[in-house]
Amino acid sequence: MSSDKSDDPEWQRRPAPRSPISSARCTPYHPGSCLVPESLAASSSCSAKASVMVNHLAVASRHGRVMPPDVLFDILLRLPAKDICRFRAVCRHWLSLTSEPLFIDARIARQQGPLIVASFHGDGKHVHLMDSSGRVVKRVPSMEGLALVRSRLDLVCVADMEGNCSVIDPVTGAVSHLPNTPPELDWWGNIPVTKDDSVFNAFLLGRVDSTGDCKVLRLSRVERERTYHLISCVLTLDDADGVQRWRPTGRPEFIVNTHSGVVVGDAVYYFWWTAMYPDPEQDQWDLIRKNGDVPDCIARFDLEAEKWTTISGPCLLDGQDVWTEYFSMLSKSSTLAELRGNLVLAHNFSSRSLLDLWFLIDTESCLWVKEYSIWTEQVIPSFMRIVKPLLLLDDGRILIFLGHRPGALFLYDPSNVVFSRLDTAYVDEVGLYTGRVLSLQSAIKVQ
Amino acid sequence: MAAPESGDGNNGAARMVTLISSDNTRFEVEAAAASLSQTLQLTILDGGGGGGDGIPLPNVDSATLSKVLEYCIKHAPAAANGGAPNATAVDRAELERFDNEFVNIDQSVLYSLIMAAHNLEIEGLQSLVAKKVADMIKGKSPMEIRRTLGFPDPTPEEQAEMNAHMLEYGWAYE
Repeated sequence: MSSDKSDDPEWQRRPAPRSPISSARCTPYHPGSCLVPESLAASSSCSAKASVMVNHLAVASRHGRVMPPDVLFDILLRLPAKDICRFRAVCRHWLSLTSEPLFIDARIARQQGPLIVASFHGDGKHVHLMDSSGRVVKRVPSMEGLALVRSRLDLVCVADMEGNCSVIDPVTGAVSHLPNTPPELDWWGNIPVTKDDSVFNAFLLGRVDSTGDCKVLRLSRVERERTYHLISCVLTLDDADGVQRWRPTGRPEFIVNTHSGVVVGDAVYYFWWTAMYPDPEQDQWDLIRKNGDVPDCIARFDLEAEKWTTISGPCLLDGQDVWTEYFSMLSKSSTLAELRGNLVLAHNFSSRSLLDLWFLIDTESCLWVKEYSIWTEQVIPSFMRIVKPLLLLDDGRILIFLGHRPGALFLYDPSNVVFSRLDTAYVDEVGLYTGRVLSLQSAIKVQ
Repeated sequence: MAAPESGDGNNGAARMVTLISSDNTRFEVEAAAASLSQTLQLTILDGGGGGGDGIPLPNVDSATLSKVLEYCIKHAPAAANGGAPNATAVDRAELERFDNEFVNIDQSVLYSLIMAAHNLEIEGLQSLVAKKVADMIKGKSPMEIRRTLGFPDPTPEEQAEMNAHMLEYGWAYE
């Protein structure tokens, strides 16, 4: 029995295969690489089954039943990146198989869903594309001094408050610098913004589903004579006439918090800016009190029609007669996000250690549904206000960005109620990249 | 030799082919279903397996072949539709339900299926079983995998490598 060759582990028989191997299909065949049972007892539960299966792998090895390397390749390819990383310690054969460029490329090509785009804290020269386990798959040169703009597209946008904005195509590396023409105060009779005015710009990039046009929304907050004004402009990338220029649009009914923006489909959403209206009940009640029970505290910009409207938020409190408290909740402990194609309001109820995720199920009727109420005591300190959900993975886990310049990425697993931090550097800002990862040429191993 | 009436197998009533398992059981099945196997496809296109002839499959026993053909018959219509781009959500859900049931099987059968799908090159089935096995080994520790694969206990040097890996990639072990 013990002399059966198929029983030998490869560590004893093969030299260390540290050198890269050109093709997995050429991997030296090793019978011990994956062995499967000859006959197994059936088992009812799935997890029990898995352990029975693996137990019988050992039995099977004595029978010499082996799995072809192609099949092992195919199986390992389907594992989450984290398991692949761990299984590299199983033996050198598994290490070499999973380290080959062919395997890595195939694994990236299989990548489900979008990649994470992140600007790492202290690295202003690049943005990094990572898979959902935090593994960097590409590093893309960026404009130093410009910060990543959160988006969910096959393009990456970087910008600063001074009005500089560039759009990068991570596949080709092509960079498009948008014109930095100052906004005009059009409702004041086209008085150009002067040097005396303090102007703060915020950008968001989205795509119109029906036409495929990419549009950048620029919101400029102008302070003049101690009053704030918002100027809203859009620009179409690759416009038909070949000229990229900012077109003024109408403006939102109220001053929005320009930090709060998020793109969902072909609409952009912003919160009401509470700091602007210290007492909403007295100052601007008519602006926000619409038909429903909850005031319209979210401004919506339709990228296709280029029109602003407002919608109401979810019912965060049971008795909502204290609107000041409601607006304080919005500004201090809530963020807007996009999950599963829905607008999501993430409310960090820190006094109860709960992160509530409200999904806007129906835009027309402003129907909000609280789909998640996440227990956050161990992970989110009560002073932490910036909690942004980023992505819902296929397996149900939620990728969450926590903190602010820098922050960190966490995965929340609702079935086990577990948070785990992604193994990445600290990040200043994150977004998603939905482009074709196949065309990312090759994976770059970056620390 | 091709039976003359087999034609191209593309016209008229569904053309049937016969497959013979390693234990000499004959299976008559539509050519379209058997053609999901890349290995068999060329033989069938050449007119093989029709009439009194059969295609011998010395590596596949009758129990496994019957299971494989169950899969092929179920998936043949969608495959004929070019991956069924216009399949309804209901159709797709039904296929998915079938697939889930299909691999909910005893592991010895699963192993036979892995080998058969590999030898016959049935792409959809290969993916299905690979995914099943991946789901089964997901979450295991390297030591669990080693022990159960019958590797001897690691030497101090191997153990040091494993420890170093765990230290470097702690997140993957959490």
